[in-house]
Amino acid sequence: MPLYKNVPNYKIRLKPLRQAINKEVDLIPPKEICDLNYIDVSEYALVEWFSLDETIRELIPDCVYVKVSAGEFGETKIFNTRNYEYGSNKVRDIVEAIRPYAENESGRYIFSGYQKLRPRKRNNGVSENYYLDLILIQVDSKGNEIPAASTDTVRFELPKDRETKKKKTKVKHIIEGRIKRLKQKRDSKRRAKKTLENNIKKYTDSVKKATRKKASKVTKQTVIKQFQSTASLLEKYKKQGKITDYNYEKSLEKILKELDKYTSGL
Amino acid sequence: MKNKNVRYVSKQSEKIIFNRMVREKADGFIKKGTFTNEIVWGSHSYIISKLDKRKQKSFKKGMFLFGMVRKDVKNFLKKTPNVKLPRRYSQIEYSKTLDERLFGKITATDLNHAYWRIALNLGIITEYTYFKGLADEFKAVRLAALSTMGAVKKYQKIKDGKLTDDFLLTKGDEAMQTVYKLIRYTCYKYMYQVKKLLGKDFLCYKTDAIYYCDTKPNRLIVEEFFIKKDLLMKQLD
Repeated sequence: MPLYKNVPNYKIRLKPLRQAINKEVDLIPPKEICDLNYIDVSEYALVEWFSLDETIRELIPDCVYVKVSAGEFGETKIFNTRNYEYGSNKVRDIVEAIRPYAENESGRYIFSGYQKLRPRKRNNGVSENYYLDLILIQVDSKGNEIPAASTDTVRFELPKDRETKKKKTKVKHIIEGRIKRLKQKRDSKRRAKKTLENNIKKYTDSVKKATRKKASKVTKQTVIKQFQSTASLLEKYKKQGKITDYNYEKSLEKILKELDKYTSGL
Repeated sequence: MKNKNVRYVSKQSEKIIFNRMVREKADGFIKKGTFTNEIVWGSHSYIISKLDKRKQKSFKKGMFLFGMVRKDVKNFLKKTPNVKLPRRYSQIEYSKTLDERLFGKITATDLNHAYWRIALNLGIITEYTYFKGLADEFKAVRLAALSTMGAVKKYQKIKDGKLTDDFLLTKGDEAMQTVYKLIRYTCYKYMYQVKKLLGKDFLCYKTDAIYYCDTKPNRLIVEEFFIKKDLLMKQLD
């Protein structure tokens, strides 16, 4: 073990060794995480159209077969989340196709996960035989639900023993942990967006002040300082993945435009 | 209900979730409130707002009031641990001897943000909190912040996808609930006192609005009473 690399054998004790191993073992997800039969239906019962990518990427374990069925907006093949990429699996096309319709009424376009059997596979409890079909459910003006594909599900009846219950709980905890992490990530992104907006606003205001006729030297210096701090913040957030490329480009363009205004006014 | 993954979802989603629960014969809970409905299924708690989009926005914007009010009330309870409630008068009262000749000569006085003002006057909330929540857009949040203080939550159980008659009650905070009662009862007490002052000219009152026979002395009686109690009002002609 790397931990005991430089420790002579006679000094190694079994107890801490066992503890260290157990700690590592606990971190390894059980193989049941890849088995949809062990995952509660409620976990993927409601996925908003705009968080489809996030759900596939972050919440669904990376060893599960998934398909996205969105009817007129397109559908993907059955793919394993291990090989998932937003652009290459057609998910982006589906999301972008829904966007214009859903922008003002996001609640009308919801995906719901249904467990199904992969083609030519048997319902025998082997995890690889199942896939999660994320079906688009449109809600019309009368409140009726219109699913984009068949919502018939196939689930394997797991034994109702203690061992199964234990495994299910473990899977549940892992998914809950993922949800928690995703939430923290989202919050951090939201905070970053707000900080950036505030900084850009402050910077824009000081450019306005500095381009006035009787602007003081201090005001002019502030503009440069604020430009530098906003630009570095922008770079930092981009590196950390807290802002999208689109937002990065847009914000950068804005602050450069303001800088142009300032320099041309000098 | 703690440690659930809280998700704010649209009104349309409520039906989708519930129908899915029915289909899957799932177990869960549902709570129907004044401002929101809540569905608990598995490790998720779905909150569905009952307000329209504009009000929802204001509600989210004013969420800070919940914390401020709770903090103030806790401080109030530290100072006055034994809250004495006034006698509970009815929230709505009508005059039993309604004179038909009065029609067309009726006026009403409505208290502005009655509960909020009473909370300030009784020292339950601070002036800072009072002014922070005074904007019109925060009306719903103000009321919610006061009424949900320590309130018991009543969840209806869903068993095998069917709504049952069983309920689950969460633990509330009695002291905080008493403070809310104090605000309400004080408001009803004021209304009752004005009713007594108006005598035969009283028609009815409902929570924070009182209707009576429109005469100059009556208007003066009502106005003087509310000014004395440091309440703000508007006359409904």
